[in-house]
Amino acid sequence: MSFLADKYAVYVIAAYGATALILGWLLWSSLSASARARRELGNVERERER
Amino acid sequence: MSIWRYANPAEFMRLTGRVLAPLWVATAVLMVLALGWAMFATPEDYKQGSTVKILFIHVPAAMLAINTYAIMAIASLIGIVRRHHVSFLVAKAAAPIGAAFTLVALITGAVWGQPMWGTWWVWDARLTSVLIMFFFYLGYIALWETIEEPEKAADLSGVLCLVGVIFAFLSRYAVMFWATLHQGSSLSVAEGQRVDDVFRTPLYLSMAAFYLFFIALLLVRARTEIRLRRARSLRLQAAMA
Repeated sequence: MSFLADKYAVYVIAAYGATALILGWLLWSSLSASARARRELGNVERERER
Repeated sequence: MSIWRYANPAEFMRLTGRVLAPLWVATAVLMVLALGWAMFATPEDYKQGSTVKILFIHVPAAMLAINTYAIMAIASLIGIVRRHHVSFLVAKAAAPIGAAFTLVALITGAVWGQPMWGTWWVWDARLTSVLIMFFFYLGYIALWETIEEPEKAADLSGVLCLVGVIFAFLSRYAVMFWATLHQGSSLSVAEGQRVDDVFRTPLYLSMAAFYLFFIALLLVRARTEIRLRRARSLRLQAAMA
């Protein structure tokens, strides 16, 4: 972690932190939307079979 | 065997269902390796200091911001010309991913620019065209959300996407047309090697990791759109019966 001593370390951490937040949110929202869609289609197909 | 058979939703779901799990594993392994290498195993640059580490996320994010738009434009064009619903849905699924990568490129660029250029932002041709492209992404997403009829939403958002292609093109080539503060391409085949191996290898690794992440997310989101379209269609059939 030698770069932490560098005067620009705060910029590096801010850039990586912002990226992790944005891409983490994108991943979470994509997976949760996928789970919702799977559930919704499952419900519709079950209703159709009844 | 024609590639158009993958425009069939059932065929698309079958193929992508098989590749998704190994794709996620490869993405996770490569991302940890690439960003770990970039953060902890690359030296500081003699001019940029440790801010050079920001480029391992800025460069792949900026490439994906532009290339995702190009993919959306091609998919929209195929959708408009050949009326393949999967093409429209792939473009729709790609938009939030492209918008997120554009936002990452803009933020990491600003954070790198402040210590290196002395400013967070300049109205430079490349930066401005990327910002306008970001607004096109938001407009495209908003258009899909505001129009209830999927066919109409697909056509209109497809046309909007094609109009915005000029800004994706300018985002890529503005540095060649105007003298801008943003430097030209460092990874140019035509101009030879301009980045030392100590930075180039982890940069290529990081690009590969980001591209795999993009493909995995795109497949998940496209599958979601296909499922939602199918559920809507079944509900309509039930209502009409």
